[in-house]
Amino acid sequence: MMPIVKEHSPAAEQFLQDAKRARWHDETLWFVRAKRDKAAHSLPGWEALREQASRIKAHTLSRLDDYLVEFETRAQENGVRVHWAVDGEEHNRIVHALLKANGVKAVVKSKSMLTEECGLNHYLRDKGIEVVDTDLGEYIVQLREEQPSHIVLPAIHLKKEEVSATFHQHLHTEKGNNDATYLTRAARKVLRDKFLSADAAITGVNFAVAQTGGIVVCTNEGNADMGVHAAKLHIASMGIEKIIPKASHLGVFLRLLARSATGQPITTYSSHFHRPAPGQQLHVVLVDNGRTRQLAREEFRNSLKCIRCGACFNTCPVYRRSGGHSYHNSVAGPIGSILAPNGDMRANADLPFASTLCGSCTHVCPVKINIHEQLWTWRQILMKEGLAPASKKIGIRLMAGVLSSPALYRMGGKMARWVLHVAPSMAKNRLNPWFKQREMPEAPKESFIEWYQKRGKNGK
Amino acid sequence: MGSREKILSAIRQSKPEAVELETGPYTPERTGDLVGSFAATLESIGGRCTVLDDRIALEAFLAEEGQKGARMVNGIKATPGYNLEAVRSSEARELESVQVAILQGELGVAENGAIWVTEEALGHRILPFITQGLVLVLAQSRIVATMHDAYEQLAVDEPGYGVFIAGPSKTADIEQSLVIGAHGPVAMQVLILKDQ
Repeated sequence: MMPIVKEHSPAAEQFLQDAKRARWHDETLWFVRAKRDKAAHSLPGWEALREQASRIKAHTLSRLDDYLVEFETRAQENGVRVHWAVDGEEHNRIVHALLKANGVKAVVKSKSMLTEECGLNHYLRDKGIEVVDTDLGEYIVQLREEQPSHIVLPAIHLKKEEVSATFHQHLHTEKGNNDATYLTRAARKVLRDKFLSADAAITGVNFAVAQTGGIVVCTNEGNADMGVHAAKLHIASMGIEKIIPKASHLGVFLRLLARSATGQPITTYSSHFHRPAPGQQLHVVLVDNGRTRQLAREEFRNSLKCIRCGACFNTCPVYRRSGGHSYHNSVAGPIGSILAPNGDMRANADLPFASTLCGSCTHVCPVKINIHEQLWTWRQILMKEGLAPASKKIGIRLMAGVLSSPALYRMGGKMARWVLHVAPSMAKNRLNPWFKQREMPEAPKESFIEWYQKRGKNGK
Repeated sequence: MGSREKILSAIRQSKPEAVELETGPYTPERTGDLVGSFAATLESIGGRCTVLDDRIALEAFLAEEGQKGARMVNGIKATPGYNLEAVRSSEARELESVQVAILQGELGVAENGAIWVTEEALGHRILPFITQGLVLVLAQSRIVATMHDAYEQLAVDEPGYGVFIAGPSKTADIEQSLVIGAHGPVAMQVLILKDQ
């Protein structure tokens, strides 16, 4: 396993050392982005749909308290137990207490970025409860004791040879059999047994409907449903921003979600849970964990509209070339780089700089979050707070001095041109961070001012 | 103050000015060949689609499936071999050996090949997932154009559990290679019954 580097830029450098893999990662995610484009362009009224989704979310955030209470009331009427957790720690305690009260020893869990955010797996494991992640990608990374590197494609950082070796070690599959169907079938067999023997199932929530008190869970594999319907206890964990006012709004969001994520017209399963099955318990845990803080930050409030489709990851030139683990956060990519500093500004001060600010993320976002503008805003805040990376602080201070003095500016330009012509190795070396992964520009012989003044003298 | 009150009061302090949500009456965007576009979409996501002329053809299909000798659940009411009731009180594990389940779909969506199925028609909530093969039967008149139309027509909270199913279960988690048959059915077919 690669050592974990806690800062994006050096971690990306490590990722890029395997040039072949980095290229594959880049091209594969771009292919997913292309599928998204095809799906979006073939749907009449796509842009209007994005606008509608964005407005529904804006409205919901402005009345979030009302809708949460409405959801709670309806859900309770439906026989669903609703819990509230201010942070990840409380969420984990609630989940553990429910499992303990029901004598649960083994849990199956479908994809939930929130439980990753809360560190639930480790918490439960420490209490002696087995948790099996059942999404195939998450199962693979769990066996390898890694984190998901993408919210929709958790094992996109791995090659089939590695999956094969992992399965050979843990599931005793044939050594060197790298066939994706063979490997998937092997996991299917093992996980079917886990589903049927687990005492409880934990799922995430894609949407919760205030009007009906129901939750919707979307998967392609069918793993959430296999777990839930076989167990006596279903616990669904959700961030408070997952609420939408009405069932009819599901039409808007389900049309956008899978098309944005993978280019599919819809996920294979969109399961609507309103009441527990006879003899079953259904619990929903509503989690804040920093979301109300983000709601208070006016310039970042929109990030709470996110429906976790991953489109901004797939399109991002930095994500594609640095891999999800470089972001050292449960949600990576452009949106993760906005959410992470809200949680811990100091630990995640590097992430808003892991972007070219090209704006591609903003253009593909199905709920129209102004992602690249928020990244830029975070940079300004981090500079003011003195949390920006040291190299950037020194560089920017130097630039500010040079740009505010015309004499210094002219002299600096002259020196740079001279260096690039006479002794290019002085600029093209490892000590110049700009030269890493880049070519230095061709230097012109003279500056614009020099050319202009000469032109004036020659009288043309 | 409990966590519920803490969260609600934090929201009240930090939420923005009320943003209105304008909701006009919904009008469907397009009609056209709904069966054709449903079938094409379903096939593009790995499902199969067959149009049957009448109930005689449906019963012939059921009889043929029944003769294969594999364990079958027939959930189509008023047909010979209907045996869904036995499933209702089953334990999930007892359904592991089901090879094919033939169930009644309520509403189909042309734009994405999804079919809405409710727990009443499923017998047991796990059945359409645990079975190796899934067949859904749908009346031609019950196909709508888009998800908006579907939610206009459905009362999604009437059943305790309902699900849109679009094709067989699938995954691409190993190097983005598509594998049909992840945890749910490895094959999925829709029988569209022509309007009489």
